[in-house]
Amino acid sequence: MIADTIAAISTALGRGAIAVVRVSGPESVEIVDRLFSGKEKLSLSRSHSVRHGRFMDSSGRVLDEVLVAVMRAPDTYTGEDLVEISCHGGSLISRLILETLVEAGCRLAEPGEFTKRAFLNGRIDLAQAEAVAELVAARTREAVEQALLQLEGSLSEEISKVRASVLGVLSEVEARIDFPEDVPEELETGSLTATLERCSDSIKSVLSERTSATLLGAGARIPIVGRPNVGKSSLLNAIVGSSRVIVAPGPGTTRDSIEQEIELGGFPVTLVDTAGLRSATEEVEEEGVRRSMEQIKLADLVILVVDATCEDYDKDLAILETLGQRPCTVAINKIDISAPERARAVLGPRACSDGRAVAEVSAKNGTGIESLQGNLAGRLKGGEVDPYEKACAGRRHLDCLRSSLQNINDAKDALAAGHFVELVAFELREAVESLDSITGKRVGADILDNIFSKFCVGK
Amino acid sequence: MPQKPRGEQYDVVIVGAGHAGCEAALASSRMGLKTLLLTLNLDNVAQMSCNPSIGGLAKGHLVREIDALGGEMAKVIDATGIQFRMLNTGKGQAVQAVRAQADKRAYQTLMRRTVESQDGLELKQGTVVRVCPLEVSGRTGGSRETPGAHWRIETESGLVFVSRCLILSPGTFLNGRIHIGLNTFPGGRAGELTAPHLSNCLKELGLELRRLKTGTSPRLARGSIDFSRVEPQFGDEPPPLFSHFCSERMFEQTPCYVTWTNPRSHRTLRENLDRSPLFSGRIKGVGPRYCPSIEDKVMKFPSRDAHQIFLEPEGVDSEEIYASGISTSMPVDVQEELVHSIEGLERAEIMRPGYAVEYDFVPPTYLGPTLQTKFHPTLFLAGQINGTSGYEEAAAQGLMAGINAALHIRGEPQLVLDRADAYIGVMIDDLVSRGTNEPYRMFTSQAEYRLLLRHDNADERLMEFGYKLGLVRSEDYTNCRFRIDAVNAEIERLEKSTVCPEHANRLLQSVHGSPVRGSVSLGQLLRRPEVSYDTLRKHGLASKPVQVGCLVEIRLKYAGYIARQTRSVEKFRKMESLLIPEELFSDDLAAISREGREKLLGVRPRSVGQASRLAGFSPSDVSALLIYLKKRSADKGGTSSESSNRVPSCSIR
Repeated sequence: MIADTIAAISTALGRGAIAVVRVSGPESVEIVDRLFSGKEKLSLSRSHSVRHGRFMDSSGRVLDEVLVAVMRAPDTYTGEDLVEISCHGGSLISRLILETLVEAGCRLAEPGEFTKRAFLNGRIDLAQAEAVAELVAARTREAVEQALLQLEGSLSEEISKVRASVLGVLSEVEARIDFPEDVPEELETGSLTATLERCSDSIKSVLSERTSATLLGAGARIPIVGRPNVGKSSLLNAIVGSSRVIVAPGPGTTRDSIEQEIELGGFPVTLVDTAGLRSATEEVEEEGVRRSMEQIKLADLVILVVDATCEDYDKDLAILETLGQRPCTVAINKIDISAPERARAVLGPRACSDGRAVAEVSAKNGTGIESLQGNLAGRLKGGEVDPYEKACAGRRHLDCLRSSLQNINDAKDALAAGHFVELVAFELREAVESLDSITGKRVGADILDNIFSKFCVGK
Repeated sequence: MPQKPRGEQYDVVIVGAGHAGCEAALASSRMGLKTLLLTLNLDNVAQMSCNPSIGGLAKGHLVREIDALGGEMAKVIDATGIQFRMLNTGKGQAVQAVRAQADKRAYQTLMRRTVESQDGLELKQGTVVRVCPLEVSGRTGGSRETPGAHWRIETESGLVFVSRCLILSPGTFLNGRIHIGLNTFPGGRAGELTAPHLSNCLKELGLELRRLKTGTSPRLARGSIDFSRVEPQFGDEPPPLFSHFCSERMFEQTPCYVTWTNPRSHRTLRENLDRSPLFSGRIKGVGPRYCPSIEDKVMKFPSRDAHQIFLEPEGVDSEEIYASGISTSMPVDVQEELVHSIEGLERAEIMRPGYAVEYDFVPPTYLGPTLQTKFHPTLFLAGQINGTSGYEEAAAQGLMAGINAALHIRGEPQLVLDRADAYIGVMIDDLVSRGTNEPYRMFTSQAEYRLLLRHDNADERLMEFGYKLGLVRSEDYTNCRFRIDAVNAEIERLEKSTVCPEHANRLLQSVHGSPVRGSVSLGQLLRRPEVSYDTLRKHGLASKPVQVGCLVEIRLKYAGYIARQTRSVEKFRKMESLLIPEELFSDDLAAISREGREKLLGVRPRSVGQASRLAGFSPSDVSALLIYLKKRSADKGGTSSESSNRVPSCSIR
């Protein structure tokens, strides 16, 4: 808990020339040293010295030229050995550095964890204790909520199904352990291993669909939604055309969308075009709505595009309704053809009370695009969305899923090989616990509940 | 006017001489404290209320742990049991356990004799009508003052006792109410009185009471059963015993018998549901799911057309057979019809009908992990009064209460076993942290560290505590250490000794194992599931006696998993060692969520670890708690709060 080495991106993400990644803990110097190449080894550096060199990823590829400051306990921010890596600004590089550090043995810091350690090591004044406690507790709660929000939709459902299946197999095993006389039948190894195989496949497909980059979120996720032919794709092109592209355009994670990573006002953003593939085929209205709904569930901020030339905005209003609490910007498109007043009058009040959330644009001739970008950046900066925290939550989910997959496969192998059932139970229980650390549930009484509902046990 | 008797003085008084009471009494008197054990009825000391059996999964583990600590249950059942079996022999050793059938009379007689012949322990009959705390007047002088009130105990017949510590283990006798069909009458067990007054005393002391129910099956006359129509089940030869200290026992084991209900039996039950107190809503208490009445089973699993029944003889000389599996509170005529519908029991006579008993219990969240009540450090509760069911669960609590009462009086650090030490620790932690809504029973699946809490290593885990408390003789402890050292030495030898591939493959071939290419160590061979220590012995590669060989085998086969669990235990213990001082509960803990605060103040957990297990206490609450703890300790200029009040822990972790 307190004994491991944590890492996090330290500067508020935004436009800046330098980003700082911090590593705190007993192994911080050793871990960074493995990935750093400079005139001298970091472990030989004096405390509070700054070294210039190159930071490499695990395969030896140079990620960036960096400045590394080594600070040794106890006179550091956290009171532990602390290493600060200053790299060239921009979210991609700092993210890659962070990713490399995690692979090398650091743990992704929990929200507020640096502050927590600073306090626990006596570096923050006791008078601030209350504030620190509030901060850490609040940020942890937010993070859990964020993580759960991110789970909306198919991912969450998938995890639930897998958990229920694994718990079912576990109950079969446990029932035979604790009630050998009531449940004397042998385990149906064949069908149980088949169930575990299916669970394993489910998790594998989740892991492959959601690549690290996507689960990491690449910052804020902003789908562009709206009825067919309102100009979603054109708008996306217009926004992208005048933004810095992070990654070359390509098909997104699902077959139905195209994702584009850009920087908006210094923030990493993934724009999602729900209109379908570029070589546009005819859109069927319901299909478009379905895609939009899925993307909305994963969104941090939504751009709803409406057509200024439209007569009737009922269907658009309906889409707005489904957004719930999610922040939304309404982009009234095609103002080169028609005036936006009618649209603004109908949709404006619904989108946001202070009218901030309405932009008037023409994707065709570029009017209003810059101001739309400013609007979006402003909302990101305003903290309505914390793209960094989302990235971390995604990363944690990935790790839990991988861990769970390992347990399930080990359990399946043990079962098939006829190993002791309590070892199978051990792996299965760990598998459920890993999944639970994503959703915040607890295994606890579930096993017994399951057994008692399925088996007639007890005398 | 005659003076009120001042009351005879004791160090520890225990009310209730059931399984909990007897263990408590023996422990405290053996630790040198003047102890009194009170019972409603001397003839029923250590009575088994329902199944004539001890042990089984998890329960058997508890019995082994009681034995390793120096308790009595294992010795008594080993000496008097009539059948012994090892369960789960087809599964790994971590989940194997012994189950014994008991001779109820013989068990009782031996336990009573043990209690009566124990120095420093008095056994008396008396119905306790009042217990109340006395303030300790400022007495100085020789002996250490026991913090907390002394107790005055009065019985119906006018006896008065005063003691420094009080342990209540009244079983199902608190406001006990028996239900047979729609007949109901007061009683703690059929044919026995109830203890009506104690409940009121407890309420006056500020403890809340709730209600639970449990049930028992009818007893049938042996001579009226047709044994040719039921299936016998025999004990293992030689009989596996519980105790670490008993030598072998040669005797003829008594078989049990198995039969089944059938659709006719189920119809009888369904047709009479309106006469069942369970279904007519007469019984308010919550019953255990895992000890359901036969009516419960039939209604809940209607598609099953047969439920198993074990016919368990209650003793070698007893005419009574306990019909386990048809626990019921149906009226007697329905019970008869039910019994007669069962194969082999067509002419069976019911000697005692089955019944349900409802009783008061105290939510165990009122207790700390030492089983002391939070408001009165000299008042301990043990057994079914804490909401548990089962003789073994009660005995384990009784032992812990007795030990801790004695330690409290001696002014020494108390004994708390955690979830990685023993099933006893799992049970007590479950009870005091989470409470219980139904009669709590021990299952192996409740133990996160099940692979470490095995039948075979209870002595390794706990005997040192027993020895240091004075409950285990030094020669027994020395033997235990010899055994452990022998096992460790043999493991080391096996890991270091190698065999050439030819020799190894000869061995492997004999057990159908896949061959190796190069030399292997004997340890590597033994890790293979198909190879046993015996296999090594047969091929001249090992020569230790069976007990050592068995233990060596378990340790090697489970090695990887033991290592994983041990790492988890380290993390767990770190959190358990962060103790929460009492004063923290009156601090303003604004950063902890409302639900978390409620739970914290309700249960008053001992450590951050225990707090993290409370239902409704979230990870963010844990973070905030750590910060408040730090603030407190820094405020006082104190050092970090490492655990300081444990009996010197066993070095064999």
